[in-house]
Amino acid sequence: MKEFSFFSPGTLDEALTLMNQYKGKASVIAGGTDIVLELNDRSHHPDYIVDISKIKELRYVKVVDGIVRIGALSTFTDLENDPYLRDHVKSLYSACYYVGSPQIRNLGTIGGNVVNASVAGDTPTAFISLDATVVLRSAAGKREMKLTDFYGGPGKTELEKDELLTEIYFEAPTEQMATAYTKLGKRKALVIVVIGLAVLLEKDCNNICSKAQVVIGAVARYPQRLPLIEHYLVGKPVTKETFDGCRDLFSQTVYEMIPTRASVGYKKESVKGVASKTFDSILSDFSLCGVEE
Amino acid sequence: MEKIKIAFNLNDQDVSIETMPNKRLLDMLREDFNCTSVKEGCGEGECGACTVLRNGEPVTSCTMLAGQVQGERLLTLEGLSKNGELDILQKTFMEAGAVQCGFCTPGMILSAKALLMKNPHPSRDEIRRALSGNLCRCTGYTKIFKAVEMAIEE
Repeated sequence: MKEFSFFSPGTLDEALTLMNQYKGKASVIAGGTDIVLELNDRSHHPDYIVDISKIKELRYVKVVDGIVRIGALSTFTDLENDPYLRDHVKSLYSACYYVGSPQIRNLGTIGGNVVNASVAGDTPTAFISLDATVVLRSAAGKREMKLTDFYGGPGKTELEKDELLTEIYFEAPTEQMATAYTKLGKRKALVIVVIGLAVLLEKDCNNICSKAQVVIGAVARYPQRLPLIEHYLVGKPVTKETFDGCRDLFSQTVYEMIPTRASVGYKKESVKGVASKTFDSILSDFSLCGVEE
Repeated sequence: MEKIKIAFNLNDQDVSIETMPNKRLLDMLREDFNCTSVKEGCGEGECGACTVLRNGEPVTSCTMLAGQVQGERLLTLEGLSKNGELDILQKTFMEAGAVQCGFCTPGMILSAKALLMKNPHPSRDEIRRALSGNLCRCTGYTKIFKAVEMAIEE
């Protein structure tokens, strides 16, 4: 590990002052599960490290006026243990539940997962399906943007060098909505995602799909909404037949996204199973909450 | 490079140290505190051999910087035995034959300890999930799960 100066601010204001002071020369560490490896193998060597893990004010999950607000320093474990998310935002809950290992979930933060912009990130896929907004703060002020506008490619985001992501928020799903996330990987623990699929579905009182937000992760350079599939679903009855009817559309969509990638043969077939599993979970959620007659 | 001063609680003792900041927690525990039960396996947070408990929760010390433990409470395997008496998990791991080369054992025992502190009567599935971040490449897991179950019964 190369030399650096280490700061561990206790408040957000102190951290933002440091980020402003050392703009471009400082790297942020929160959970550290990615950056410590890069520091240790010297592929990353900033002059300053700002450890934000002690900023208690950025660690919360709360629901205020129908908006779910998650502090950037909440860990995967925090979200996995949150009863509201477990019962009402199954997509995000599942995305956290299957991350890494207990040790990684105790360290890794939601803000880090979003900002890292790894192709294999789990929570960004779920957050985009919830149409989430990120809150970015700097010493100069605060701005917000939709997570869909935040990503530019692997490791690339709209975050400026002096900014910190402080919060992610989204509208709380209503009783007429169900969400699900399915992660396809090669084993059961410490899984790197091969395909991540997150869905939010809303249905009206006649059991017709009135809204669909479908996002696929780990296929393109960052998680993508799938408008073709969303259009297909809206206006159709929320049944197994409808969902079975779009399996081929998933396959075709994945093929068109990565036609030349070596993994396309596997991904375009396996996405059908991933879609079925996700929609099964949506259907079972709807029947559990008694909306279905 | 400026040294940093870190004060924390290690195995029920308040300690403080002045050290270089460009160190992983793993390196500080081994080199400065002689806690050699903390092993470096993969060095990437995958294998769990470097597991320590931070405020009662298992974390991989190879993915943390030393400076991040300021004010925290850490437990390594060295702190598990009390007054020369081994912890129940250390005993059942021996009785069940859950140790072969022993490299993963400190991390395994600490992950199991964290589980039992929170949930004194876990199911087999809960044990499996709690130990899913600790890899063993020789014994296999059956005897390890058995050792944890024996500790529940005691």
